[in-house]
Amino acid sequence: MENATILETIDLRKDFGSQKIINGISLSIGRGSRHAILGPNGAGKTTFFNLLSGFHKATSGEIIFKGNDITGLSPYRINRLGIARSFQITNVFPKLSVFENVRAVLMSKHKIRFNFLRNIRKWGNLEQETDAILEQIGLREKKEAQAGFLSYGEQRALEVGITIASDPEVILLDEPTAGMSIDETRQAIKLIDKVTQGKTLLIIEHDMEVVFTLADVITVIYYGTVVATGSPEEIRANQKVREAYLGDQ
Amino acid sequence: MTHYRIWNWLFLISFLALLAFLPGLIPEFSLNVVITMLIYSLFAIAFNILFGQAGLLSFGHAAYFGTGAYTSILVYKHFGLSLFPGILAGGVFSVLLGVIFGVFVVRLSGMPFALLSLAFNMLIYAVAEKWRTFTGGEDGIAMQRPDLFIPGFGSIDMFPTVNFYYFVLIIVVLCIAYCWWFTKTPLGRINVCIRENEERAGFVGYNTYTTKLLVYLVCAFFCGVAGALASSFDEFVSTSMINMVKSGDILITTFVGGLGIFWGPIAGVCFLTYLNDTLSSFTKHWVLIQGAIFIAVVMYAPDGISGLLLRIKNRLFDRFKIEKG
Repeated sequence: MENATILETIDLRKDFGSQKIINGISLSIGRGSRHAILGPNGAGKTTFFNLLSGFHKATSGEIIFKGNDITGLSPYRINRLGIARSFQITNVFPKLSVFENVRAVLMSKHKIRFNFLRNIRKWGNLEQETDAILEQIGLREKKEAQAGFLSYGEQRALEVGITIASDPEVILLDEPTAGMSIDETRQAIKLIDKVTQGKTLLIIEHDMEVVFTLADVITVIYYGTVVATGSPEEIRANQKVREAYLGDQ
Repeated sequence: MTHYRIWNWLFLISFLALLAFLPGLIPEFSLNVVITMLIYSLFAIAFNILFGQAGLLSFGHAAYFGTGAYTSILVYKHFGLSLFPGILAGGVFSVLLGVIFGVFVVRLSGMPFALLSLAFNMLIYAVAEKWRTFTGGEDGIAMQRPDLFIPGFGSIDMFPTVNFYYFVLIIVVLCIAYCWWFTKTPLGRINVCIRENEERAGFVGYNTYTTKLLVYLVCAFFCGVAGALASSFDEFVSTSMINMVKSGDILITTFVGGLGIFWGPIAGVCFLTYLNDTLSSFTKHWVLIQGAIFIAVVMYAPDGISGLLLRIKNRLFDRFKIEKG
């Protein structure tokens, strides 16, 4: 089951002033694995994602993607290499249509970035591809709707759609089910499971049900360090994890 | 949907036809007002690429308008260029200035963007004012506009207002048509994405800095062309074309017209130019009225005149729908 490593961090650290948020995380993510990051609020999970996706620059340490050092690259470069992320707080293009939200990502994927002479409609397959993504995330009917006016669940689906549209090798999802009802969460899990088939998935999640149904590897982070990494069964049985996080007794 | 589109095209074509026959319909004095409207329509539409579409508020776009204005007059004077190359030179030099200023300003957005663009405007204004031997300082430079030379056809005398009117009409219509087309191109679409959410645009793979710089240069080019047309029309250029008052004027005009709709700024230009023209024959204090209108629009019609018109149109159409059953 152990695959080749696609993404690796080596003693990654991040300080904000005197606050040490990430205290040396060394982690390797196997190609094609579904890796969940677990940890209480403030453990540094989102900051870890912010480092991986280039939003913050690491204080020290290295991030290796497919054998190349990508530490300190800007977000757009990291995205172009094949790592895409979603956000905990919905982060779409609110005043544009659902269709345009997704098409914007596909334009970037096809390197149609600076053309200012040709009508966008001339790239015929762009529309079909966009529709295909919308179909996958169940928003085809709503394609003309303004993204900011979608329901919360739909916005979360769009958030996932924007993340996967560039066809990345590694997908980072930051609490995709945050704030959802149990029903919505189950639907979202189905969606995520479907659209990330065959990809490497790194997911931050609070919901135990989500983590234990979706992930095949779990890493528990506590105060910016890795407490344990292992299969769901191992994590469930790990005494340290139970004390720190699962709140057993 | 297609029904509306046909009406839009019909409206546009009849509007252009009206403009084409206008010299036969109105006196020459009024034609001058229309030329001014055309030129400032281009300025406002170009300015709105940045203001409305990119969401970047610039307090300093007279820098590009003025650069275009000075460039064309100077190349007529020193190099004896004919009309069209002179106008083009205005646009090109504005782009060059845009590169120098743009690499700094597009790193910013919001208030810092506005203030830095203002600072750069003051800088270029100071150059225009102090470099007297070259720019004529406050006195400016007067230079008759040259003929329009068309290879293989010959020269057309541009002295008659009607001839110059048609020249301006063609240039402005072509430029505005491109600005409209621009909104449909990949760069035009990404421009709007960056306005909506610059951070996310980066995370889906766009180099937002380069994108904003390119958009900034497209805007600078057309502002420069508008400036070149303006000084060629006046046959004179002075610091009033490059000062901060000009920057404020275009901002007010665009806002009054409405920045949410592509054609909005044109409504603002026509309305305020007409008002200016009418009121200034009654009172010296017409600027006071312009100011009052600006305040009223900011407070009660943030979508501008065009937004207001659109709302009225939608209401009328809805009523018709209901009456038809």
